[in-house]
Amino acid sequence: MKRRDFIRSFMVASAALSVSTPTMLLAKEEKQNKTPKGPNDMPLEEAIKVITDGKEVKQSDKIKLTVPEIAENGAVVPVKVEVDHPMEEKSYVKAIHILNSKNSNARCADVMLSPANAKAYFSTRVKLAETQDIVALIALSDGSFIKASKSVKVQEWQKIKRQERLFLHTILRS
Amino acid sequence: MAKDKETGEVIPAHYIEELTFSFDGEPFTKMKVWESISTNPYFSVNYKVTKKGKITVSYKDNQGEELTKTKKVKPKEA
Repeated sequence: MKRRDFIRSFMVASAALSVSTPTMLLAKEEKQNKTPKGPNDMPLEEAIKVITDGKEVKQSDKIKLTVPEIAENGAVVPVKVEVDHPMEEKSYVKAIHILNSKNSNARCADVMLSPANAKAYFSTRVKLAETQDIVALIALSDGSFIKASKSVKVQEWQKIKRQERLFLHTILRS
Repeated sequence: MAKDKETGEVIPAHYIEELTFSFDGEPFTKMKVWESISTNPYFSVNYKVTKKGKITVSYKDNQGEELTKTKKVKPKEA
């Protein structure tokens, strides 16, 4: 074997080695874990587009969105939305949409209101898979849209454990 | 998608899809709901009661179950 060939083969081998480092395997495995999708999976931008039909959405401080800053249990996160807007036949809040930014399905709930509600108010509890933003998208009766968003920190003990497990798994295998 | 921790079987999704609030048969609030709502869901809305009547709440879930509950209400006497 010539010296040049030997070096070349060594380089190929080292390249093959670097492909399968634990971190890359970890990334690959995480990607695979994300692939199974449900029938309603929809990212946030797409969901907003579906609701607004491509119209412009303005940030507004008329919306009072109440969520905890840190949620100890991501399975039960209280969300409260109040809109400072009249509720009369001429001008009222048509709908309150609650969305999230990182669950597999961005849509939580769509609430269609009518002037009979007298106050644009809605509250519920949502599930959050990880730290992310809650978005309240409000449709007004004149066809315009406003929104407000707030981030919720979800304690991620379970997720950390899962990552540790994955890491150990890849080390043992390599 | 959730899996059973012991058997590894996929637990089928089960959640409320539609909710309707009505007063004397006239709906005033309708909701469409997805999986991101917590187990044992809780929803709260406002309604201005101007006369005696019945408030009805009904839901439909993704497995075709339906439930309706009715309660009498009357305006607060001044």
